[in-house]
Amino acid sequence: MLSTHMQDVLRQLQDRFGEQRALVAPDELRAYECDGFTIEKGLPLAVVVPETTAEVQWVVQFFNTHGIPFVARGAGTCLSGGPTPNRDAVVIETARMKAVLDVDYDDMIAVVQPGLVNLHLTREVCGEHLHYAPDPSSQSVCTIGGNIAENSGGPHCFKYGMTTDHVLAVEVVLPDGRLAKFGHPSAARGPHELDLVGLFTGSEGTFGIATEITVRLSPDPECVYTMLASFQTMEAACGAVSSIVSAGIVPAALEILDQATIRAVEASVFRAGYPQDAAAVLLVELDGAELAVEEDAAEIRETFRTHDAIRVQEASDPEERTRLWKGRKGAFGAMGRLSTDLYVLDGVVPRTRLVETLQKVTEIGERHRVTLTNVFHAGDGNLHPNISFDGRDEDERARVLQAGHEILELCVAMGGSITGEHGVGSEKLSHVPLMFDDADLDTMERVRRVFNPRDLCNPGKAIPERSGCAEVSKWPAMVEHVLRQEEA
Amino acid sequence: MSVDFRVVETRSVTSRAELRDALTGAGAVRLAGRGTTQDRVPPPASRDVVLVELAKLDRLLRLEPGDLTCSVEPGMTREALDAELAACGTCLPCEPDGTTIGGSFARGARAPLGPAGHSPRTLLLGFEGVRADGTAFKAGAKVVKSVAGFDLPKLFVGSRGRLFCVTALHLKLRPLPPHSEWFAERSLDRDGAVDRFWTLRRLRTPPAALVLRRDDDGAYEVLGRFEGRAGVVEQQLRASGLTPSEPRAGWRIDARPGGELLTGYCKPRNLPTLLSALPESAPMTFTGGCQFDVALTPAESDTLWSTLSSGETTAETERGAPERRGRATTPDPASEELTASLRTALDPEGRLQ
Ligand SMILES: Cc1cc2nc3c(=O)[nH]c(=O)nc-3n(C[C@H](O)[C@H](O)[C@H](O)COP(=O)(O)OP(=O)(O)OC[C@H]3O[C@@H](n4cnc5c(N)ncnc54)[C@H](O)[C@@H]3O)c2cc1C
Repeated sequence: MLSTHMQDVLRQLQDRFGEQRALVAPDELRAYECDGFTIEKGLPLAVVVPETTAEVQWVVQFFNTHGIPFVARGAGTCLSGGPTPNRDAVVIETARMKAVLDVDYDDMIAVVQPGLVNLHLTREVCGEHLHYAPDPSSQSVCTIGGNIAENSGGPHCFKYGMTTDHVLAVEVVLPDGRLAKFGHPSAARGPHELDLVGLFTGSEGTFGIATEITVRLSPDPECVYTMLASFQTMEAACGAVSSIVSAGIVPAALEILDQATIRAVEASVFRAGYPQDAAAVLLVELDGAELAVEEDAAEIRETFRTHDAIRVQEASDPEERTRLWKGRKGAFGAMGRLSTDLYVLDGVVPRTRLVETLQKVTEIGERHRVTLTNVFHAGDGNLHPNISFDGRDEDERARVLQAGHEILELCVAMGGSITGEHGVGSEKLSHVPLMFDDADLDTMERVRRVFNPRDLCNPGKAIPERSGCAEVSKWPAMVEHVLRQEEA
Repeated sequence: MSVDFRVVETRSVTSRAELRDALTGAGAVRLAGRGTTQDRVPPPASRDVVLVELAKLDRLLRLEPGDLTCSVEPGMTREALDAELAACGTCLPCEPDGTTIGGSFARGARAPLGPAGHSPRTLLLGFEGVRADGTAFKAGAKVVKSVAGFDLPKLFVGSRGRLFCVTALHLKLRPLPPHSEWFAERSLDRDGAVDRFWTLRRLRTPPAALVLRRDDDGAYEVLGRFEGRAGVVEQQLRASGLTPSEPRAGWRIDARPGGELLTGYCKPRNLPTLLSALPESAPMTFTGGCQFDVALTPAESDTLWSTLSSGETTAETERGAPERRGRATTPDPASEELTASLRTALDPEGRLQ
């Protein structure tokens, strides 16, 4: 039951935005209780849907006055609990701020609102042979605002970099309601400035709400060529990746799917004709000048041969390429159909330790009796072990979480990271101490307090809270275990 | 800003422990690599400073060619790192600037020379550092991709040693291009040079380096570099009607005696306007990464500053008399406040200058 004060606050919100843009009914709020990380949920107090920067400012100032926490939400495809409301927060949804405000084709930059769907920007500029390079697999749904908050990657970021490489400037409503402009249309930081654009990118919605974003567009490559090789072992597939990179070739994408994923894809509507007897398939996309692509492709064919590829399929025309990619793009969807819930992990290891890591990941899965599949950005060593499960089964849920914890511990022990692109959110708060000690977190907390001193803006995300050190002390045994492994 | 500042002591540190001692000793500190570019940054605010040199922290800590990563101490020179990297077929894909690795990133690492190049700011994957109060900490990671924790490596780039001191940098590498070829088209007039620059900039596979340069005789030149497989580079040069030229490592301009050097960024679309605002005899360069440098007399500089108020162009006087260095376009007020607060949060006593 809401206090009279809170009822009054919500009434004021509806007076300002109307019932269509200020949702308070529990049924309507249900859709906002989590993102793609379905293990943790939290019903928001309300949802507001602003249409302009001025409205976002108004809302943020209003919540500041009333000491109410708030969280921005794009499409809610985040996989780490980023937009899941904590502590009776209000959700500020950017769905109605989805305009492409300006495109400068000569300078190859675009100014967009945060709720614009990633792929819609490319659709807008493709007529001029331009595209927006960051391509999370969720790009047909996720928003540029969400991408910035998470510093999202995607299959093509091996060559083209993450979101942070492509953002030039951001207009931000700071957590106290002030408006700030970071960066410039010509460079993310002036020669005398701190890189506030870089710092804001990846801050998981805790440093303010982006309301206008200037991004770099990239020219479409002259030529694109896709190759799909299947292998009898995962070692051979990873070995081929290492050989390609060692040869000095920089493909646009290097993606691997394991056998369990291949079978899930082939049994689904995303069927792409991947060989089901293969232990792994490797998808390589080359792009650039035609001659360069041809020469790289010839060398890669030879690499496939030396790594005993069972079968190689190649595609240069868009339709065939789409078919080869179909299975990869649909992988999450296909796995989502294996059970009611899907837990998508996101660890990174040095690429040269992929094989060893994957073996141990399999062991962890077996030990905890969970259904585990692997699809990953092999070029970056960015693993996505996916665990399909039934969230209603308490016991299975606990085993899934334990397996997830152990996999992330493993990634850190291998010299890697607990997240390559999905963010910490609330999901990985307890793992942050695996990578960062008290002094590291104290430094980050000082930075957070500069932007978000009252901790009203997406509280309880990205880094563990320092006051109680609750999350920091939650996994001491786990931390010790990893340190011991490292020593050994 | 204290124009007549005094270095009361120079401490050349050889370990992290010595660095902590130097930082936590009394007084204001100015961090330096080898100290070679101290005349390119504004002077410190205090009159008396201890100069802490990091040049002797110069080891390559880790090199993993297979993972395309390495870790170095801040005092390692770019030349020394390049030699190690080349030996295993890798490179740091940003232009060398003759300083230490730590100094280069702390000063802000220049924009890529090519329109499609990665910004050097994204090559710093992580670091280990020490705050002004002696607290050792780290951020980022050693792997090519990580979004765990706030992106403090970005905060280090361009911080000019005023937030914290870095003791190890984890860097992202690229395979060394098998072949590269420079080109240069000389004696162009202004319009011809701008046209040529635009055309090359908008190629679907643009050059890895692209520079429009004007000398003090007013003659324009467009130069650059293609990289890749030999046959491909040759074909790209041919397709653009270019002929190979001598490597042009020394294409950059500097301040003339008694003069100043302004550096900044402007949109290519604004290049003609910028050129019109400059005196005909002022040497200048503009790169594919939108960075310009221009050498001016102090009087010319004053005139230019009066026209550089637009938010789209951002610039700073990098070289010149100490009291004139650091003059810059005004940042957004909220950003300026946040910058000041970040300095206070990380160095509450304001000792790093
Ligand atoms: C099938 C599937 C595939 C995926 N593939 C990839 C992939 O390949 N690579 C990858 O990196 N990610 C991937 N993701 C994860 C996810 O799509 C990305 O994190 C994406 O950037 C989230 O965007 P969103 O609009 O859905 O943001 P949301 O989920 O709504 O929010 C994400 C975070 O951004 C914050 N936020 C949203 N808008 C703003 C704003 N305007 N200002 C400030 N903060 C804001 C939120 O508070 C939250 O913390 C995938 C997800 C799914 C479901």
